[in-house]
Order: sequence, then C-alpha cells, then structure tokens
Amino acid sequence: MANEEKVSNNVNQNIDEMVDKAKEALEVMSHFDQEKVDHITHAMVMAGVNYHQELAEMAFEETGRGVAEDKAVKNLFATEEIWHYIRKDKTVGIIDEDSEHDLIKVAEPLGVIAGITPVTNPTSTTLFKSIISMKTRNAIIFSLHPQAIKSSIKAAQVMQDAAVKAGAPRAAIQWITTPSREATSYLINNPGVDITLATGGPGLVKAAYSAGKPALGVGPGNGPVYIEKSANISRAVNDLVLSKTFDHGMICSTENSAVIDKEIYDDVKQELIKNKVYFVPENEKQKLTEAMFDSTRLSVKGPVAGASAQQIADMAKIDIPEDTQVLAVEMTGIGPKYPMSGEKLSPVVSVYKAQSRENALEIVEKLLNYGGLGHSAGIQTTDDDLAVEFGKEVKASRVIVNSPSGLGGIGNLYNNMTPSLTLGTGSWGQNSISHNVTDYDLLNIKTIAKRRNNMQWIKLPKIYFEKNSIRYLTDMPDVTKAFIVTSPSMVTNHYVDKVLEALNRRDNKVEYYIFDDVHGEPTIDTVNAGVSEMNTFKPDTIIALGGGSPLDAAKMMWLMYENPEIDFFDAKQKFLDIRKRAYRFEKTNKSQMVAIPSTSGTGSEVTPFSVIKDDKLNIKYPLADYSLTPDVAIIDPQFVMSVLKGTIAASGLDALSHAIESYVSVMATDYTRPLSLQAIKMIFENLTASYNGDKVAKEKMHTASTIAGMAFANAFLGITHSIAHKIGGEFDITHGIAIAITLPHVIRYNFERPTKIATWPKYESFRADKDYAEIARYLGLKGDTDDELKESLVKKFIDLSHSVDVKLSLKDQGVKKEDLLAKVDQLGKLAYSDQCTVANPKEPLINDLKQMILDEYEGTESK
Amino acid sequence: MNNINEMVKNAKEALKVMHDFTQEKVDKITKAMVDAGYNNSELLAKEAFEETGRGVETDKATKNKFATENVWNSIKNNKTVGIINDDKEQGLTEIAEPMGVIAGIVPVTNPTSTTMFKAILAMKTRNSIIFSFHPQANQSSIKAAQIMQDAAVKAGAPKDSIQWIEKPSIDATNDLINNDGVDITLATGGPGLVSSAYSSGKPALGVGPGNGPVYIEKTADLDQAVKDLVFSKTFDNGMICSTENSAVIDDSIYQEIVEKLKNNHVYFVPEDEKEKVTKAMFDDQRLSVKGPIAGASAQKIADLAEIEIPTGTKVLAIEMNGIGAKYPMSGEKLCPVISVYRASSKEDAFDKVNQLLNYGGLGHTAAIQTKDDDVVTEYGMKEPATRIIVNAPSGLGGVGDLYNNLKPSLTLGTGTWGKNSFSHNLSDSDLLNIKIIARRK
Repeated sequence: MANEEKVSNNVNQNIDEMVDKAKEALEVMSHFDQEKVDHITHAMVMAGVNYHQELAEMAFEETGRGVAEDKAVKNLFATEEIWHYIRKDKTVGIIDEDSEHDLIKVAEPLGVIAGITPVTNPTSTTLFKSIISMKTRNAIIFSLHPQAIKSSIKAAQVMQDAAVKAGAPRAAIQWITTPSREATSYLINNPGVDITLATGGPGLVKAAYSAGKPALGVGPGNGPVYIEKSANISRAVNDLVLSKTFDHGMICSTENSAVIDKEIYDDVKQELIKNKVYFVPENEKQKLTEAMFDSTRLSVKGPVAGASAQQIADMAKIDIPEDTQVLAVEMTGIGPKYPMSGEKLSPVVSVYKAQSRENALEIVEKLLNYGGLGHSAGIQTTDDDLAVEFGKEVKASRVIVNSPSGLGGIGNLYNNMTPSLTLGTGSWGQNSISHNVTDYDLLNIKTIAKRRNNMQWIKLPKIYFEKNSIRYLTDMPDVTKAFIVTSPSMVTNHYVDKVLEALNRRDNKVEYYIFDDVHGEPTIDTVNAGVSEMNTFKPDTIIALGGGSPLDAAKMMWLMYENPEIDFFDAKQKFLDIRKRAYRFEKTNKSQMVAIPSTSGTGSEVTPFSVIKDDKLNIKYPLADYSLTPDVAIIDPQFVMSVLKGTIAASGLDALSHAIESYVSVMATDYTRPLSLQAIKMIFENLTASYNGDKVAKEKMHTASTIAGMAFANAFLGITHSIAHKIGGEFDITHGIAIAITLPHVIRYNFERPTKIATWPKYESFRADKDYAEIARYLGLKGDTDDELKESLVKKFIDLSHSVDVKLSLKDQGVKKEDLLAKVDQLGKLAYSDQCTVANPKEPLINDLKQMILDEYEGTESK
Repeated sequence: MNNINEMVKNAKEALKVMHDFTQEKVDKITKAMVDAGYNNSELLAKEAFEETGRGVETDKATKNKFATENVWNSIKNNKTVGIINDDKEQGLTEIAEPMGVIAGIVPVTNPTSTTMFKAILAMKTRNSIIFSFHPQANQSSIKAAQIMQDAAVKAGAPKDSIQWIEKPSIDATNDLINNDGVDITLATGGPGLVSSAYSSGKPALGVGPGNGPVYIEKTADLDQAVKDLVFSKTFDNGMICSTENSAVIDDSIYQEIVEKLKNNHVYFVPEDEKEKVTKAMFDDQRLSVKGPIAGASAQKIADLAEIEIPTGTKVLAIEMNGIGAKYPMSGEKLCPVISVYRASSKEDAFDKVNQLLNYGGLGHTAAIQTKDDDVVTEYGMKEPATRIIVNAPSGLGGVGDLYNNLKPSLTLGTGTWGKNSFSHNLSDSDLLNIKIIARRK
C-alpha cells in the first residue's frame, strides 16, 4: 500500500545514496598508499580491541545467544588475530615484481562491497569485514542481521569512527539502519555494488550468487569429528567439549557429531561424562529433538542457536545434572528422518559408534552430505597417515586435526590456516571459494606483462676436424664398449675399418658391435632393432658413421637406449617453440655419442633433429630435442673422398639451403648468423670444384656443411624445407634436389613485405628483404637496390645448380603436370603444417604455398 | 529440458569414475586430447572458417595449436590431483578436488580453440564438462568436442566426461546454467550471457568485453609498434578479445607512425567516408558491431560500407577525437578496423586510454609501446585493465605465453570492473576445490 511503498522507496533511495557515497569514498581511497591504508586499518584494529569486551556484552544482551566472554574472544580474534596475520600483506599498488618473468602485479580494490553479517557472530564478523575491506581500499555497506542490529551497528560505528579519525572518508564504512529482506536484496542487486560478502544461510548466499555479478559466500556446516582408536582420548574429549561450549557452539565449523571407533567408545564416553557431558536417555531423545528442530525446515528453531545446555533442556522439558555443559545424543540414523543428525548451532552433539574405519568414514560422509558439504570435518588420531587419508576422502574444505573444530576451522589459533570469519566451502556448498576468506580475496589484480625475451642459446657438440681427425677416437675418454651404427656401404668401402683402427690404438681394450642394418631412410623398425641390440651389448659409446640415415637412426637409438620408457609416438615432435621442448628427456648419461658424417651433408652430426620413417604408414616423424645432439662430431674429410657426383650435388645444395634458411630465420641470432654466412660463402666457392673432383674443395665442403648444420641447429629453417619435405616425399625426389628446385621461389616470396607476419617475440620487425641483400653483398654480388641484390643471389644459386647438373624444375625430375595438379592442394596444406614453417620470416598463406609448388613445375628453368 | 537432466546425470556418473584417477592417468588422458587436438588444428580451422565465414583459416589453426600445445606446456607439470602441497613446517596439507559438473559456453569468435581449451582444463582437473556452443559455430565446435571426447575415451576416460547440447538455443543454455546438478559455469561470451551465469545462484567464471587501446608513446620502437599493431588487427581479422581497438599516439611521432602504417597496408579512411563506414559497421541501437562485421576482412567491410580502398589493404584506420556512445567507432570492433587518436601529452594519452577502457572495455586489456620503464609502471598503475601488454601485439599478447609470461588462456577475466570473479587468465587451478588439512600447531 501507499505507506509501505513510500517506506520501501525511502529505503531504496537511502541505499542508492549510500552507494553513491561509497563510490566517492573509493575515489578518495584510490590515492592512499600502503602506509596510509595500514595506518588506518591498524587504528580500526586498536579501536576494536578497545571495545571488544563492550561489544561482546552488547551482542549477548541483544541476542541472548552464546557466552559473553567467548564473544569477547571472537572480537579479539576478528581484530588482533586477523591484523597480526595480514598487517604485512601488500595490498596497494605494486605488490609483486617478478623480474625473471617480466611480470608486475598491481593491486586494486574490488569496489563497493555489500557485507552481510550473521546473528551467530554479529560484532566479530562486522569487525572482520571492515578490517579486510579497509586493508584493500574497498568501500563496504553492511546489511546487518536484524536480531543483532544494535550491537552490530555499534561495531560498525566503532570501526567507522576509528577509520575517519585516522584519515579515511566516512563513507568507506556504511550500514543499512533498518534491516529487512527487501533492503538486503536491493543492496545486493544494486548496479553500483560490485560484490557481496555473504556470510549467512544458504538462501542469502544463493541470492548473492544470483545478482549477475561475483560474490563470496559461505556454505552451511554439519561438521563431524572422527575420534579414531589411536587418538589421545583426554585431548579429544577436551577439544570437543571446548568447541561445543565456546559461545555455545555457534561457530559454523564446530563439531555437530562425534563418530567414535568402537574400541575406545566406552572410554571416550566415560571421559565425556567426566567433562560434564550428559548422555540423554533413550526415552527423552524424541522430546529433545522436537524441542530443537523445526519439523518442516528441519533446521534448529530460532531460540536454539547459541542457547546453553540448561536452556535447551528446559525447552525440551527434561531434567539434567546441574553443571551439565553439553548434551550428547547417541544415534545410528543420519538424514531428514533424523533431524538431530543435522547442524545444531548449540552445545548438543550427536554421537555415533563406528564398527570399523570404513564404517566411520561412511558415517562421516553421510553427515557431511546432510547439510555440511564442503565445510569442515575434524579428526582425532595419533596416526598422521590416517589423517591424510581421511583428508583425501572427506568432502570438506578444511580438515582439522587433533584440535577443536570450531576454533580450529576459523584458522590461526590452533593451526596455520588463514584466520577468517567467512569460511568458503567450494562448489560443494555452491561457493566460489573453498578457503578462509582474507584480504587477498578482495582485490582485483592487474598484471603488467612485458615482452619476454626468451633466453636463447647456442648448443653444439664438441667438434674435431681436419684430415685424420678420426684419431680423436683413440684419445677420447671413457670408451670401452663401442656400438657402431652405419650402413652396408661403409663396411664394403672399409670406412668402418678406419674407425676400428682408431679404437684399436687405444690404451685400453675396446669391445665393439657393428650394426650396419641401416638401408635408405631410417625406420622405426630399424631403430627398435638397434635399441634391442644396445640393450644387450650395453655400450658406453655409440658411434654413427655415414650419411644422414645412419646418423639419424643412431641418434634416435641413443635416445631410446638412454630413456627406456619413451614411447616413440610420445616423442613425436610438435612445437611453436623448441625451447619448450628442450631437455624433455632426462639424460641418464649411460653413454656418449660420436657422429662421423660421410656426406656434405645433412648436418645431422651437430643438430638436435632426427627424421624417422614409419614404414607401414609411410609417414615421416621429425623429432627435435636437444638431447639428440651428439656429444662429439668428427669432421674428417677422408670419409667424403669417394662420394658419388649425384650425392655431392644434392647434399651440397641441401647444405647451402641450411645456411641460407638459417640466416633469414626468425630465430637467427648474432651467434648463428656468422656461421650461416661463412657456410654460404664456402659452399658457393667449393661445391662445383668438389663435384668435379677437387679434393681440397671436398674438404672445404665437408666443413661448410657442418658449419651450416651448426647454424640451423640453433636457428632452424623455413618453408624451403617444408615444401621440399612434401614434394620430395610425394614424387620421390631426392631431398637436395627438391630443395634446390624450391629455394629460388622461396627467396623471391620471402623477400616481399609480408601481409602476415611471423609470430616470434624476438623477431621485432620484418627483415628478410634486408637479409637476402646482406647475403648477396657478403658474396660480393652486384645490385643497387635490395631487390637487385636478391635477384643476383637467386641467379647465382641457379648457376651453381646448373654447374652440378641439377635442373630446377619438377618437370625435369619426371613429375607429370596432372599429378601435380591433383596433389597440389594437399601438398600446400601439408607444407603449411610442416614443423619448419614456424621459423620462416613470414607466415605463408596456404594458397601462397600452393602457388609456389605449381610454379615449380616449370621452375626457374623457363626463365 | 529432459536431455539436459540426463546429460547432467551422466556427467555426475563420469565424475565418480574420474575421482579414482591418479595424477598420472589424468595427465595421460589430457595429453592424448592435446595431441588429438593439435593434429587436427588445420582440419578444425577449416571447418570453423567455413561454418562461420569469419577470420582467417590459417590463424584459426594457430589458435588451435595454442589452445592445445601452449596450454598443455603451461599446465602439464601442475599437480591437480590428490595432495598438491605439503607444508610440513606449517602442518598444512592441500588436496585438490574437482569442482564437479561444468557448463562450458563457447563463443563464435574462437569456437574450436575455446572448446578444446576448456575440455583440456576440465580433464586436467577431473571435472565433467557439458558444452553449450554458439549457434553460428555449432558444427565445428561439436567436431572439436568430438575429437576431444574420442581421444579421452581412447586414453581411458569415461565418455560422459565431455558432452554437448546438440541443438543450441538461449533456452537450452539457460536450462544448463541453472540446472541444479551443474556446479559452475565457464562463461566465455558476451555480457548478457556472463550476467546470466553470475545470476544462477552458484559460482561462475565469466569474462568481460574488451575495448583495448594501445598507447604508442614517443620513445617507442616505431617499426615494432607498427608491426605489432598491424599483426594484431590482421590475426584472425582482429577477433581476439584483447586486440587493440584503438591506437593513441603521441603527437611528436604521430605523423611518422601514420606514414609507417600506410606503408604496411593500413588505409586511412578519408573524412567524408567515415560516416559510411560507421553506419555500415555499427548497429545504432545496441552500439555494437553488426553481425557480419566480426572477423570480416578490411575489403569486405569496405564493400559493406560501399567505399573504395586500395587493393591489398589489410586494415582500415579512422582518425578520431571523440570517445563514447556518440562515437560508436570508438567501441569494440572485432575486425581489422582501428580508431586512431592523437595525444597532446602523456596525461592526455592516459586520459584517452581511460575513456576508451570505460567505453566497453573496463578491466580487460590495454597495451603500450615504449622504451621508458617508468611510463610502463605508471600506465599499469593508473589504467583500469587487468592485463597491460608491453611492446607486443595486444591480441596474441593478451592470451598469454606467446609474447610474455602471462598464462596461456582463452578465457580472460576482467575483475569486478567487468563484473567477473577473477582478474587473470583462466587456468587449471581455477577449476579446483582445494581442501586443507590443518594440524594442531
């Protein structure tokens, strides 16, 4: 009706006004520094301490619940104890500077907080919330419990006065003077309120979590304590009685039931009786239950919460001994049919006898499920392992061990949990938090994230070079059992013998095993066979001798020998950043690896890569991990003197692409680029001569190939390899040839300013155009613009290929146009998803790759 | 309605099964899902692109890789099962438990990547998840969820740990969020949806809208600043929520930046065409971009506005002064269009950034390009954004891990500024209840 409406409108208007004022207060407090905030909060704490007794008496007078002295203790807890715990917390401005991760955290208040307080801990909760709110520069508007309104307002007033005196704006702390459900709802749902701190019953908490914004609520408790047979009985009993009598058992984490192992049941019962606990006889239990519990809601009736044992006995009209402190009701049932098994908020405890540990846990679970899910559970035991098992089992957010659960659950008095009067119960109790709410829960944290420079590195094996450097095997430490991985041709051309000679010249006797079963591309089967032999032979040194295949096979075998638990498919590599993959495998250092290349080459002797083929599925797995890098590489030119011309050409052009791609890669660094350049120069100067038989040139090529390997091992490649991998596989073209056909197209493509830029934090801006020009200049090529220089480079490459009889078109390799057209879509996609694409200086679109592949049909031969 | 009840029931059964999983088993299953997702990055990107018509296919593939591999690398060593912390000195032992049944909402901007991201986090923490996908991306999202489910089942998870609503609708989503058996909603979507999640009577983890500006300060590395900005706007056509929507540029470098932008395929819309672009892009009631705009290319937007732009233009730039409801172009654009402001001083720049954030981006992301560390700190202290991206593209910077050490995530909290319950990049720890065993002191 009109008058009610008017009142209601007034209340709402009042709340609107308070919210506006709160926002102004926020503005003022936003300029406070940590020192000022702590000064004000401390002043509030001191005021609370000064008034702790008076407020307790007021609360007791007003509510008639609990014990005045205990309320005084709670007030001290809410002020002094809380302050002691949070006083050093950084809650203003920069609160964390992590220079290792380049992150800075800045604390900001949440804003306007709606603070709800319960009737069970009225003044203490008001003090607690005011304090943590001020510590975090939030403005709080209280909706205080109607049954404790006077004492709660007094508490809020004490806080406000102290805060103002110390320099805070008055509206930092406000309260609704005439509480009602409507007012509370209006407050919670007010658009200017940022969050509700809801310490109350499930209905209220649910309302807070239905307001369309965040909330911090609590759940109901029905905590049991499990008194296990190894418990210290007198302590267990002492703790239980303490909990139940402290403020008449109103703290939400208090034990509501005791579950006692049968072995000690009688002793515990006797001890309880000695401690003024009265076991209600069978024929009076019903009367007690009816007096305590509302038969519809199944929760305790109003007057019960915080009543003394005597008062409750009077309500139930039963006689109890004069100095009884606690009523105990022995029970077997749990659930709505047995209301006494629920939350009692008074010095009454339901008692269960457990037939076994399993039975005890069962009872505890049922009790928690009956109105206490996620809240608290206690255990008394001298067996810590059992305490942990119990903790794992029960659905309680806090498990209190060997202490009173009531005062234990609120933290810090009996244990090292965070002290609090708002105890979260997790999703079990439909809360957003499962811990004891503290100042940190009332902050927005901003993170300043600086661009991260990944720590980079250059990882290389020890490298021994020059003619006859194979003799390093004679002096190398720790070689007693050598497992040699190689191909049949290395045996027939007696290159293996040179290895054995060097080993035989050692001071110590060396056992060796020759595994020469590596034909063509290394397969999973080959690797597994090798590992199997290694496991029998148990080498301390693995020597790989040959082209890319034995080297790759040996590296993989070595890895699996060192790490027996590796699943081949787990090792399959994918990455956006190899640094996240480094040392994924723990090296056990059972053995060391030596790589001796006989081609110039794949560079595999110095790289962390290994390509292994799955024969059955016809898929190649490129693996990358720094633990695949050999320990030693021996670059001895005597092993490349009899390489066939076709191989010289293909592997030489491949090595050149390693050098060029690594130079322009997004991951190129000042450490790798000199290596790339030197290799480029050496290959241009020596490949043709090597092809035509010049021995000195062959030696230079061998070195250049390794140097190129050193570069790309740390700077990686690009789309020349992505494309070549796929077209080489599809049309059965030698890798080096596929590379050579592709490279000119990629250089021209990469040179153009990107529409899509590659993702790599250290690559600050596109530089591929300048890079190619730089290579050309380094080689002494002519050109007035970067574009001209680039073209000179491309031409020089084409000339080089022709000089070693390599024609740069797919047509010349026997590929049919219709086959190419049929496969180009798929090849483009596969090339895009190849691992090497990631390091390309610009990210290609799939259509770009397809176009390049199509262009390669005629290639650069048509120009 | 019935279907949802059944799904929730099944999800609870799955929870029971997963409750007995060890950390090892959980990690094995999650990794299998990660691998399956990664291996299907391109496929899912193609499906999402074809279904929604938004963004750039290859970028969607990158997002899928990010949502699987980067996220996995960030969380793989996290303890999320059983005892996760044992402080003997303090006598405190922490135990991780799942939250329960999660309702997972997925947006149209990052449909397959968000699906996989959430499925992975849920499995890592032994939660069951029931998805509600965006209607415009339902098929591709279901495909992603199916791949996750298949991989999980193959590795030993119960099938109902991952489920989804087959025919999405607002009603179905509401039924799911409000279902008694659902414990929490992971709401990645617009403010309306997030508000619903936070009104369900139980906890929620939602996000806020973004309208992030980048302040290009006078000491910035100009080439890097320009490159980062263009990269952000073109990556998936600027749909990541932390992407720069405006650039606030110091007066002394303004002209130079504009020139460099022009050299990087950015077209500055002439004065007399700005109105046309605004009208074509923004709904004049809601003041947000019209449906077809999100994820559209610069060319497509120019076509919609019926203006001519040079071929090869990748980004449209609109020089402006005003910020707010009267200037819709100052709001979130979700496409390769950027509003450009000239700042007369640092204070002016800070003020404009503040205004832009207040216009639909409060608490989300703000970026800065500068070599001056003090300015960085001041900016971070003053501006109401929960993530401040320094000297990096804001789009891919905000999602974490690629350019900085923020946690990789596709659900970015915005604190109470955006009416969220968290102010960081969502990760696995946000999906756990933590129990604490407290010994007597």
